[in-house]
Amino acid sequence: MKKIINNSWSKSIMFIMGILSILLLFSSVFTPPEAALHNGVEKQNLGAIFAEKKNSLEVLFLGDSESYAGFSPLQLWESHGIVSFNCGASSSKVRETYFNLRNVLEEQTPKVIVFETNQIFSKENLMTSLQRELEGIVSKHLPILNYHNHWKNFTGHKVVGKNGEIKADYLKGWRFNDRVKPYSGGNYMRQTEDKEAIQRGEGYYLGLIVKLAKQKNIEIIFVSAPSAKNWTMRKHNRMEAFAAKEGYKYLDLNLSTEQLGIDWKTDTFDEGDHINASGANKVTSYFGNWLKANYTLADYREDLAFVQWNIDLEKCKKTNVCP
Amino acid sequence: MAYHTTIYLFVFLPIVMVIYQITKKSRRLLVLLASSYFFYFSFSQFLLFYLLFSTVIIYFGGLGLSRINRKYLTSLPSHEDKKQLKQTTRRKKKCVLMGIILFHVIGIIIYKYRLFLSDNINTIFTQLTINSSISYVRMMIPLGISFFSLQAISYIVDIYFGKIEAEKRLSKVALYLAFFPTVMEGPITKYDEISDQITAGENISYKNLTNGAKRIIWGMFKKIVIADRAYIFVAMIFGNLATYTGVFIIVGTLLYTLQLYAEFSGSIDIVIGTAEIFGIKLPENFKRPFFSRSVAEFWRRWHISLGRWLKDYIFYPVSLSKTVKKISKFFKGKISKILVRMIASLVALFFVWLANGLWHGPRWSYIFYGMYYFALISAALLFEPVIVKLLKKIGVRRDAPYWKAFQWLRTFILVNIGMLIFRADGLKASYTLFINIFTNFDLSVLWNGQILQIGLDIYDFWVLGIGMVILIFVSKLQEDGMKIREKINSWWWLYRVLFYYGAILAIIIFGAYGSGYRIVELIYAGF
Repeated sequence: MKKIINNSWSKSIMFIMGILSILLLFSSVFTPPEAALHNGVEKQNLGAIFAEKKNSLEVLFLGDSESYAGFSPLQLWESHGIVSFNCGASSSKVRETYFNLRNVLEEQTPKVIVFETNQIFSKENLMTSLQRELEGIVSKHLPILNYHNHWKNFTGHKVVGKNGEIKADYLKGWRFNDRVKPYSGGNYMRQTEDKEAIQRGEGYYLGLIVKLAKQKNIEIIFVSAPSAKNWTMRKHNRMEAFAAKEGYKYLDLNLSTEQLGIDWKTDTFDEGDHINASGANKVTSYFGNWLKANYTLADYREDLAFVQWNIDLEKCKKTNVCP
Repeated sequence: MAYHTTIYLFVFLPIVMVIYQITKKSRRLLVLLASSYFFYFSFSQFLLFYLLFSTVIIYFGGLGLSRINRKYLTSLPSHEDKKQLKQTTRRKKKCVLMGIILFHVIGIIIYKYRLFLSDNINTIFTQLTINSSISYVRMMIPLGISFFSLQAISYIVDIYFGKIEAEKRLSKVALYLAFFPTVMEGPITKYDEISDQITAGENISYKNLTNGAKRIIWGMFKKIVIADRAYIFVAMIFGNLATYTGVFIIVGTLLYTLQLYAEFSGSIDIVIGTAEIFGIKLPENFKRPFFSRSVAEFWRRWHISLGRWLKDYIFYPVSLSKTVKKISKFFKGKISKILVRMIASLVALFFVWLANGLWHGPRWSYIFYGMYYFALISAALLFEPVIVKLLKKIGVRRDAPYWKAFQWLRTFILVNIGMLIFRADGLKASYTLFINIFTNFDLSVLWNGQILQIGLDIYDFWVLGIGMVILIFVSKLQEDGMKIREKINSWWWLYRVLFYYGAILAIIIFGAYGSGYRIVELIYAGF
């Protein structure tokens, strides 16, 4: 027995078993109660859209940072009375957008999904995908990896309440950024017939999103926000072909920057990667008119059920963070 | 698959370890090489060919230099011809050397500085109202290009000067450049210090495994608990120039210094720990830099391997060059002797710091950062004799504790100003941040709750505070000469096990990862 205990391999295995047991024990202490979860996801982490009234939203913006930088729901509200929410998430992949959409559609019944197309061409290599999958599997069995931050609960500071309080976002998912860092690279939409490829994983989840939208009878509009650093004619060609094949509208704002009045010297905060508040104002204004002209969306500005939207708009103007 | 990710630590590394251990000793080099190429490919895909090309070039270049040397030594010409042959040999060797150096420098320019150059040319066009512009061509940058290029240059220069022999085994040169623990963030090694170790194929012993694991755990603590938490506050301050002023900028800068040190030294701990598992001892890259009492000392303790490279391959060649000697000669008799003696050092230092700034990346602020340290170190060199005299005159002892404390504080402040320049998004931003420190300077934000509105709550600050105390405590023990891992190894087994469990739990519970936190990429991997 003593020989086994002193063996290096035995010692290593016992050590690992020991740490796994401790982590399992701590997992049971750290995992929040059922009421604070939604489909196994902690409500607080689902995003501010879950603080919106159920079945109140008619338009959902999906995508990555290009989405939340470019389209302001409060501006759409002010100009057209459209109730929308921007679900864009930084560096998110189509896979995450799909699972997020599934969760959102349990509480909302939108008429239109506006899918900003940049994330469709995000290139995640195999190792990064594996990393995500691995972390998902491990944290499923060792929930402490998901809920480790709940140590703050034990200090009396509640990270998450029993029912999982979700903080509302008065900007409705749009993110204010008024910095200016010009782009000076010239024309980035050079003519070509070539088409950019969509990676297999991204294509698969894009297909699932389309299927889900068709099941729920939701219209999808594919939109490419102006991005001098990310967008190309090759991507445009691919999206145009894809949208036509699926029978959806596709609006590439990179081809209408002059019409929109986008000035790359003043309308970007990171040298053409994303547009800033000034750019978002122009994009949302143009897109709002286009949306109103092409779809039948109600104007809720006089509807008392949406009075909170006017309060949020006031707050936005007061804090000077409107586009 | 960066060093701190689960896929590296719990999938890639264990698989490599198992394959390595079950492979014959003589073939283990190939296991490490294949693993290194796999690691590289996972980041840079087909840019792996650039690394391969660099390997082939320095391998054949090295052999070529050896051949030229051999040819020279074996030929026995007459006295006159010997002189001629010596010159021809030198010219040929120089051609090979310059060709290889140029290949790597041009590679770095194409991959790293292309956008910077086209941007500046476009700005000049705009200023001159020339209606033309250079378009961006977006390209991936080969992983670790700034690190392995320096190693490649050091290999070929050392052969040129006869410090090392050209390696005959291609696989050995290939592993030297691509070794997966060092290819991403260094330390920048010299061929002769690791070549024998990487071919030794040592068994993974229990001692090496546990010692390596301890170093990795320590590195993870620094990266995940301290650096990634500090990042939240730092990103808010440096990302919103117009919003934060005064004390906020000071706290943001101090936290950035903490973040950068904890992150870079933490990932180097993981790198050194990984290599140690395979029985390879890499050079240290940090030696408690924040105990320094001068800026020059700070740089002898911070990113040591880069400093050593710049000293060996820029400082000495420049200061001993004919041109610099001519400049010194020109000033002889015209200015004081001390200054004449300093000219060579100052000229060499200028190129060292220019290279240091440029090495960090294609930004004017990095060049300014280099020049900032050039100015500080040159000033220290120039004024040292005056200060010594002055201190003597006013009766200040240089070994007095208060003088040491003053020197430490001065260095700490100067280094933090450097960090502000380094972190700010461009020169204009660093100027704005520096000026804004003196705007709305209100110390009460530290206790009236405003400081807690920038992404970190009071508990986060507690974690950062305790983490920093642990970091300082460990550094102090190391500075006093304690070998901490050996000390822990001498404890009773139960204490040891409880200590390790505590450390792992601390990283898992107090780490800034998962939901609510952003994945923070390794800063130096971007260089």
